[in-house]
Formats: sequence, C-alpha cells, structure tokens
Amino acid sequence: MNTTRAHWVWILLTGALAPVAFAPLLCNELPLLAGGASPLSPALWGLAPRDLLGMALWCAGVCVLCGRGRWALALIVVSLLASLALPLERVGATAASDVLLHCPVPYSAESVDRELSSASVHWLGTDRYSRDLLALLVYGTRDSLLCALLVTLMVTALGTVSGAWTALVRTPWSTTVMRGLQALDAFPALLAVLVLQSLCRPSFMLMLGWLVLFRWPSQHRLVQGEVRRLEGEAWCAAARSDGASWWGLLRHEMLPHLRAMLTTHAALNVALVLAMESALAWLGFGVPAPAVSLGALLRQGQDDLPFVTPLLLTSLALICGLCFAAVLLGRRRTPAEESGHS
Amino acid sequence: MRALGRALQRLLAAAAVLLFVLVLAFAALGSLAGANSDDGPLVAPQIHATPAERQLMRESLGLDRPLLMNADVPTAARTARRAWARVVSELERLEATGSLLEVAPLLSAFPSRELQTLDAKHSALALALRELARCAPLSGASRAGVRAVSTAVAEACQRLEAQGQAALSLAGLKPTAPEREQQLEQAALACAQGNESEEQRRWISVAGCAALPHLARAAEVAQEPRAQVLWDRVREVAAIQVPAGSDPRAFTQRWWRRHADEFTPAGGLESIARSLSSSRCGMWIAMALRGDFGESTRHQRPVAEVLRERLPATMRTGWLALVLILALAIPLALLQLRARARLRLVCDGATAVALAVPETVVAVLALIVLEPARGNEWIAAGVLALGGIFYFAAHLRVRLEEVLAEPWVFALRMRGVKGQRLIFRHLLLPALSPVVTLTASALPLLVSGSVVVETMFGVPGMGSAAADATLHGDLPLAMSAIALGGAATLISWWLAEVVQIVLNPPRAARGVSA
Repeated sequence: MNTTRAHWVWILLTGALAPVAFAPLLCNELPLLAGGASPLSPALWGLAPRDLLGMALWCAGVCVLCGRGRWALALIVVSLLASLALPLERVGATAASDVLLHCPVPYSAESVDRELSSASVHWLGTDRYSRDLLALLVYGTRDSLLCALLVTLMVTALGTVSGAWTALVRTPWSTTVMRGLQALDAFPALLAVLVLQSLCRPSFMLMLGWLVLFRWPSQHRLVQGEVRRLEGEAWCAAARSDGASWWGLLRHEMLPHLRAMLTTHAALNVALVLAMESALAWLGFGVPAPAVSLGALLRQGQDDLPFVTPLLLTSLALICGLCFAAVLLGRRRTPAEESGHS
Repeated sequence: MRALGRALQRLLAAAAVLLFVLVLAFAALGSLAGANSDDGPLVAPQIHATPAERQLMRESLGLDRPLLMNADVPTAARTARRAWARVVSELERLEATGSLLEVAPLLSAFPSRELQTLDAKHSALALALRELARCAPLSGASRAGVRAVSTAVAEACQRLEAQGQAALSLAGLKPTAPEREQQLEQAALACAQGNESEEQRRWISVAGCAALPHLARAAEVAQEPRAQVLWDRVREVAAIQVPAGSDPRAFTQRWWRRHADEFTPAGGLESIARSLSSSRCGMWIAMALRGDFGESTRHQRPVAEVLRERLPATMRTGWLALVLILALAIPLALLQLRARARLRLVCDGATAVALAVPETVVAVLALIVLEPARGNEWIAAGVLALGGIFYFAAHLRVRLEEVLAEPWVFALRMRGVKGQRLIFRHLLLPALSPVVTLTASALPLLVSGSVVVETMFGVPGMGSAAADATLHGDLPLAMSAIALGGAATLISWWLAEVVQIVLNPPRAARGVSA
C-alpha cells in the first residue's frame, strides 16, 4: 500500500472515530463480559440497529483503507440487512450471574444515574438529568455521524446513477425525472424536511429518507453536468461507437474520471448533512428520543444559557470539528499538491 | 437572438417546474389525514365534543351552507359528490379514532331547514345524511359500514341525475343544452317583463341552478318591482343565506358577482380551463398563484395575511445580510488577490473555517458572546452573512485569477495599465459573473428566511413563522411557506440566467454557467 500523507490522515481519523463507532462497548450500563448462564457478553447481545450500523461503517472504512472496497460494500449491505432484524432499542440487561468485565463508562446515553454517584464515576460529569456527559457525547457524535455518512452514501449512489442516466439517455422519461428533481431542488430543504418530519412518527430511518430525498437533486445536477462534459471527449465517443450501454459507459469509462469529484462532493455532503441534522435536532425534529444527537445536545446546552455548561461547549466544539474535518478532507488538491504527495 | 431564445426557453422551463412545485406542495398537503377539506385540515370532534367543536366541524365540512345541487348541471353533481367524498373521508378518519358513533347522530340532525329549499330537496347531501343516519348506527363503527353508506350515496347521486333529466323532459324543456339555454333565457326575460307563461314559470322552477345566470341577467335589466322579485328568486334558487343585518338584495347581488362563473356554461378553451380549475388541485394552484393559501389553523386568519405580516422582517434581515456579503466579499477577494503568500494562507484558513461551521453553531456562539436582545435583526443578518462573505470572496477570487490570465489583460499590462486602475476599471466587471449567480441564489433567503437563525434570535419573519407552524401543526401555513420558497428559488434561478445573458451573451448562450 502506498502510504501517502493523505493516507495517514485517514488512518488517524479512523482511529479517532473508533471509540465513537464502538460506543456500545465503551459506554454501556450492561457488562462487557459476564459469566454464569450467558456465555455471550450482554453488551454485544443487546445491540440496536444503529449500534450495528456504526460498527459496520467503521469496519467498512478500514476495509477501504486496506484497498478492499468490495468487502466494505458487502459489509455495509449485510449490516443494513441485519439491522432490519434487530430490535429498535437496545435490549435491557440479560440475566448474568457473574459480571467479569464492566464497560469503561458504565452508562449509556439513556441511563440516568439515580444514585447521583460521585464525580469520579462520571469522567466529564453529568447533565441536568443526571445522565453521563461522556456517554451522551459519544452516542451523540455516533448518531450524528452515522446519519451524515449513511445519507451521503445513499445520495452519492443515487445521484451518480440518476445523473449519468439523464445525461446519457435522452428520453421523455429521463427528462421527466430531471424536471422532477429540479422541482425538488427548488424547495427549501431544511423547511421541507422539518415539515415532513413533523407529520410522521419520528424515526431515525425516516429522517435519513427525507434527508436523502432533498440532498439527491444537488448530487444529480452535479454528476449530470460532469457527465455531459465528459460525453464530448473522444474516448467517450469511441466507447459509444463500440456499442457500450449507458451503464457500461458510466461504470467502465466515466467512473474513474468522476471519482475525484465524487469524493470531494461526498466529503462536503457529510458536512452539509451534519449541519442540517444539527439544525433539525435543535428545532426538536432530529433523531427521536431517547437517542441523542449533537444538535439535540446543543439545544439542551443552549437552554442553560446564560450559564455556559460543558455540554454546550463540547457539543459546539464537536459539531464544528466534524464539519471542519469533512470540509478539509474534501478540499480538492491542486496538481502541485498531488505531485508532492505521491 | 439566440440568447433571447434561451432566456425564453428557461422561463418556460421555470414555469413548468413552478407548476410541479405547487403540485408537489399540494400533494403533500392533500395526502395528510384530515386535510381533505378545501379550507384546510378539519377539526375532528372527540367523544365528548362541545357544541362549539361540533359547529366548527359543521363549518369545516360545509354542512352549514346549502349545497348548490341541480341534477341538470353536471358540475353541480360533481360538486355534490366531492362534498360527500370529503364527508366520507373524514368519517373514515374519525372511525379510526373510534368516534364515528358520536358523529353519526350529529350528522343525522343536519337535514334542517336550509336543506329543504327547492334545490336542496334534490340534493345528494340530504339523501346521504339520511342514509348515514339510517346505516351508521346499524353498522357500528366498522369500515364496511362507511363503505356501504358511500356506495349508497353514489347510487343516490346517479339516481338523482336520472330523475333530474326525467323532470326536465316532463317540463317540456329541450334536451340539448344550447336550445335549453335559449328557452331559459326567453323565460327569464318574460319574467323580467312580467308576462311569463305558466310553462315558462315551470321551466324556471325545474331548471333550478341552470336558470340562475338568466335570472340574474334579467334581474339586472328589469324595472322595479320585477327586479326585486327576480333577485328574491335568485336568492331562493341558490339558497343564499343572508346574514342578519344585511340588505338581502345587496347581499345577493354581491354573492352573484362572486359566484357567477360557477353557473355560466362555457365552451372551448375556457371550458377546459374551468374543468381543470374545478378540481381540488387546480383550485389550490389557482388560489396559490393569486396569493390565497387558505386559512392558518394556528392564527385563525388567512395564510396570505400572516405571510404579508411576516415578510417585511425577513426581507429586512435578508437585505441586510446581502448588503453585508457584497460590501465585504468584494474587498476581501481583492485583498486575497493582492496579498502575500502568508496572508493568503490565513485567508484560506479563515474561509475554510467560515464555510465549515454550520449556521446553527454560529448563531449559538453569537448568542453566548453578543447576548443580543430578542428580535435583533442586525445580529441575525450578521450570522446569515458570515458564511456568504467568505463563499462569495472565494468564488470572486478564483474568477479574478482566471480573468488575470486572459491575453487581453496581458496586453493591457504591456500598455502600462497596472494596479488599482487595472483591477477596478478593467477586471472587476468581467469577473462579477459568479457574484451575480451567487447573489441570485441568495435571493430566496429574502422571501423564505432562515428557519434556525430567525427562531434563535426571535426575528418575526417567514422562517420563524414556518418553524412555529410546523411545531403547532399549522400545515397550510407551513406548506405555503415551502411553496413560496420554491417559487422564489425558481424565479431567482431564472433571473440569474437572464442577468448572465445580459452580462455575457456568447458565454450564456453556450450554456456556460459562471
């Protein structure tokens, strides 16, 4: 593997995100390992879909870094399917007679410390409802990031296929799809998602769906423009004269040219979706309770104003940091930088 | 010429997309439970509904008004069916909440005085209500029971149409429409002159609503006291309820001026337009295009009135933000262009930070640091502008660098044009195209506002109104804000295209965006 500076950045980022991805193993009131009747560790036994998806996305990231893109894809698909079979919320403690190993932080985002334990038990203290702050931040970051990454993945896939199709296949159907997406693009996205979220029963997956719906047109427009530009190239005309279908043309000829643009836009999309999700959660229409996201934590911290609490500061810093990291990673490198790195 | 053609083409495409946006907004609004009323979502009475709630439901369903029904006028029959469809869908919704049995006796009490007028005795609704009163208690709160009532009503409507046709034949009116219209016109004129025959009087009586345009026309030309008699006849046939204290004749004349189109037959394109606009979707779009978005359930006022009230604050904040962006972005871009490498690096870092930090975070930081008073539009505008300043400056700088590399700039330099003269007199105008596009893309902000910033700073604008409407389930207001935002976006896109064409015709005609 040719380890460039960019690779190191990615490796560091993946390492930093590991505690967030494996949040149920880091912050959980259930023990990690238990003896007695249950041979499996209860923390792993009671995973919710979001827990599984978080871990799977992190593992997929590692696979991509190791150059195993297909493994990553398979992992995401399998985890998406498996998450459908899991209960929506984390299952409570199983009957375990002997606890062999506790999680480092013995609280999850939902657990309330009714005994008001001493500060040494809570690494960063508690919020006003006696919930562990570190657990809240870890789970909040995990859910916000999960939302941003899943939406970006789906938007990139959908937008690339639809954009290439409408650019390469000119039929009344493709024109209709194009106009429809243009109409969708005209809606104020945040307001539309807000209204749609308020109309339906709050659900994480539904929120992802609305966000995908309103981010899709911009990705579509971008890919369509790029494909139309590439269509004029001689190699594209040659492939067409060889009888390549639009799908073959996209997959074998255009995708390598589109990869840099798609990566850049995907990183920017992550920042945008993070911002949108924060705004939605701030308005009370984000990830449904008892789950938390960074926007909801920001709102909770803001409600304590004029007292500036650690919750407010940490959630502000995390949102800014994540968005900034995404924008920096998405910054398209100049040819000089490219040659310097490789 | 080619550029003009392109602008027109874009305008047509924008109009088509605008129509689609409105249809989408209508579909979202119409597909909601309880939103089947043309007047917005209905208020469903619960098990222990108060008389006021029942009255509200009567008004929502239109049951407090006489139904203008005539078997001879197909549109009126369709109107009756649509009214009944609304009743049925509302009943289905109520059935899901288990309160149908409560509603059935409520509805059964309705065939009251106003339904017993000349046309209402033929009305589908009267029959439907009787059917409902008969069937609903027997069928209990089952879905099948409601379906049975619905089917019975549909059959009753068909039966009434057939009966109406038979009644017209019996009365001796010609079966084909133009001839019948002529007969009715002659009968109405005879009524106006006071020399109508017994047969003509019967025609007017049987034709009901179909005779209304002729009666009204005759009433307008008739002398007193025949005019008074004819207006009374119009009021009786149309079953107009005159509010207490109003002059019956003046009220009837006003009512007729508003509703004349519904009763006047049309042909050709007008009939197609009228047929399209008589559908719920068509009516909603036509109303929306006229600026009438229905009634806000939270404010109990027309949505248009609420929007008009909120628009100035949003426009003030938006303009302030736009002026701030333009006033600061252009000098910043010029500074970056002429800056040394280190300063440029600092500017790049600041741009990346400003672009990355979400609006929500900037707003919270402004609240912590500046502690602004509620409704402070300057701070709100500053928060809105922050990202835009750096975004505009980055695009302008890139364009300026592109223009600087053009051969004609090199030629100018060779002729000794340098420094500020080169930038302000020769470079700035050709480099402004991205600013124009970006300014156009920021224009919707002037109309739809920012939900988060306005809510956070308590600015009484469109964004905060939309957020408030969403929180309180005021769908007509929320959807109107969305539709308005969509329309503003489309118009701003089109404006950007036109300005690009004006600034740089060959480039725009090739479809090259800035």
